[in-house]
Amino acid sequence: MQWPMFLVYIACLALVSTLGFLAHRWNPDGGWQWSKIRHTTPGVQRQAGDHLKDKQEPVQHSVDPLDQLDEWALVGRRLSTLPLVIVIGGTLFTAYTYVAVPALLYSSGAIGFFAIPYSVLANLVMYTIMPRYWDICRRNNYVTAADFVLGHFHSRSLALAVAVTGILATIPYIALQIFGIEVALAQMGVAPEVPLIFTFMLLTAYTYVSGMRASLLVATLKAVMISVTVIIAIVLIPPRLGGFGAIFTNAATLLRATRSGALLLQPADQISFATLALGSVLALFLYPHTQTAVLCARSARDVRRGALWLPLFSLILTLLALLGYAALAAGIPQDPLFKANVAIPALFAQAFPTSLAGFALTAIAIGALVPAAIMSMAAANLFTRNIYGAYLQPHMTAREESNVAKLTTLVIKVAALALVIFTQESGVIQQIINFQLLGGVWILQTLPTVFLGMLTNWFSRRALLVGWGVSMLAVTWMVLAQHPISTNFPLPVGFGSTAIVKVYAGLVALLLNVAIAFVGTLVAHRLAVRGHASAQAVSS
Amino acid sequence: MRRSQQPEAEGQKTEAGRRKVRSQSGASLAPVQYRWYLLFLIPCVAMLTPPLYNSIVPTLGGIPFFYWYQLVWLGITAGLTVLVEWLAHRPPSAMPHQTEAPATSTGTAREES
Repeated sequence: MQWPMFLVYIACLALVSTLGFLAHRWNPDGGWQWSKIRHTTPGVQRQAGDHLKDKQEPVQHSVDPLDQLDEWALVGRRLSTLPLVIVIGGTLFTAYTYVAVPALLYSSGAIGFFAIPYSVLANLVMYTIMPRYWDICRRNNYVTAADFVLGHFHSRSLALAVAVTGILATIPYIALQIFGIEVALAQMGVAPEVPLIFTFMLLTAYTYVSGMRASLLVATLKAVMISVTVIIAIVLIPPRLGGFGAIFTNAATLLRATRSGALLLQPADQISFATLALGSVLALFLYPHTQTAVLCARSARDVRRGALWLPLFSLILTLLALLGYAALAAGIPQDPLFKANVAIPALFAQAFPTSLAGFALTAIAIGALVPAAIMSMAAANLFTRNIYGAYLQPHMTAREESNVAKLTTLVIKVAALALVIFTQESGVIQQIINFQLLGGVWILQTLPTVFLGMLTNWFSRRALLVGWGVSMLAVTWMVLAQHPISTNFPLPVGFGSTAIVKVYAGLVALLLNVAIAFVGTLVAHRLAVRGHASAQAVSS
Repeated sequence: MRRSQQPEAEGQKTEAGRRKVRSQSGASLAPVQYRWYLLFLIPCVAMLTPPLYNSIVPTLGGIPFFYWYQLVWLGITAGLTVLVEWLAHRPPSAMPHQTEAPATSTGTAREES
C-alpha cells in the first residue's frame, strides 16, 4: 500500500469536505457570511424561488436561503463570469474526459482525438445557443429543460419525455464518475471500495447541505489541481520519453503491433470520427448537468463571456489526450479490471515521485466529484419538478420542493454507487460504459424539442413527441444490434450496394427525428387549417 | 405565424402556473448583429473534415500534422469567439447587467426577445 499517496488523498478530501460543508455560508455577491444567515428579501433573489406563490406561507426571515431550489441548485442564478467558468469547466470536464479520452488514444489511436473538435466546437454551442436558453429560463423561472418544454409547448407528455431522457442519460454518467474515482484510488494501491464509499458519503452530505455552492468551491480547487498536474506532466514526462517525436513514433509502432489503431484515421473511420464529434457537440448542452451549470449565470452576457474562457479547458483536455500516447510509449500495461482506463493514472503513478503522484491522482478523483454532484442535482431537479411535482405532488411549497430535490440527490448517488460497488466484475463495468454511450445518443434525441423549440414556435408538439419516440427506439436498436455494442452504426451507402459507412448512430437517429418532426408538423398544420375551415363553414 | 404569442402568455397562467413571471427590462439591449456568428462555420468545417488534416507530415516538433492542426484550430476558434463577441455585441458598455435591472412584473413574458 502506498501510504503517502493515500495520505495526500485524505488531506485533500478533508479540505474538499470542509469547503463543501461551509459553502452554504457563501454567497456570490456577499462572500462568506459567518453570522447567522438572516434573509434580507431583495426583490430579485427572493422572487426567483417564489414560483409557488399562492401556496406559500409568508416568507420567514429566519428561513435558510437554501430552502429554495434556485438557491440550492443554481446559486440563485447570480454567478458572474469567472465563477461561472469554473462551474461549467468543472462540469464539462468529467472523469470521462480525464480518464476515458486519453484511454481511447492509448488503446485505439487517432479516433480518440475526436474529443478535441468535440470540445472546441461545444464551446461555440455554449456561446451561440446557451445564452438564449439562460434567458428563457430566467424570464420564466425554469430550472430544467423539461420546465421549458412544458411552458413552451404546453405538453405534459413531451416534458415528461425530456425529463425521463435526461435522468436516464445522467445516471450512468454519474456511475462513470464513480468509476473514475475508483481507477484513481486503485492506482494509489488501496482497495478502492471503502475509501470510495467514504468519499461518496461526504460528497452526498455536503451536496445535500450546500448544493451548487459546494460544487463551485470544490470546482475551484479542481481547476487549480488539474491545471497544475497537467502542466507538470507535460513539462516532465515527454522529455523522459525522448520528446514528442519519440512518443509518437513508439506509440505508432505499438498500435501497429497490436493492430488496434494508428496515428491517423483509416479512410473508413473518417466519417465516424466527424459524425461522432458533431453528435457529441450537439449532445453536450442537452445534458441536464451542463444546462444546470449554465443556469447559475447572472446574465446571458456572462454565459457568452464564460464561453470565451472555455478554450483553456479544451487545451488542458488536448494535452491530457496526448498523454495517452505518452502512457503507451512509456509501456504502461492494460489493467485486467479497468482495461485501458488505467493509462493516465498509471502514467502519473509511474512517472511522478510519490507525493506528486498522490496529488495528481487526487486531482483526478476530485475532478470526478464535481460533475458527479452537479449531475445528481440536475437529475434531482428533473425528478422533483417534472415528475414528482408534475404528477405526484403538484402543490409543493418552495421548501418542500427543495427538500424533495435534496433527498433525490441522496437516492441517485446511492443508486449509482451501488451500481459500481456491486458490479465489480469487468464485464459489468463494460455495461455501465455501454449504458453511458446509450445515454449520449438518447439525450441527442431531445434536440428538436429543446434547441429547435427555443428558435421557433412552428413545430407541432405531437410531431415532436412522435419523432422523439421513434428515434429513441431506432437509436437503441442501432446501438444494441451490434456486437460488441457500439454507437458506430454501419449505414449502407445506397440501396442495392454492399458498401457501408460507419456513422455515429445518434446523428442518424437525429436526422430521422427531425424529419419526422418536420413532416409531422406539416401534416398537423394542414389538418388544423382544414379543421378550422370546416368549423368556420359550420358556424357561418 | 400560426401560434401567436397568446398561448405563451396563457401558459404562464396555466401550466407554469404559479410561477411568478418576471420580465427583464431588456428592451434597451443593443441589437445583436448575429450575422457575425456565421464566422463560426469556418472552424466547424475545418475541424469536422478529417480529409483536410489526416496526415503525418508536416510534423511540428515531432508532432504529426493531424494533432497539431487541431491544436492550432483550438487557438483560432478561441480567437474567433473573442472577435465575434467584439463585433456582434458592440457596444458592450451600453449593456447593463440584466439581473441588476429593476424587476418589472408585466405578466406577459415573451420568450422571443
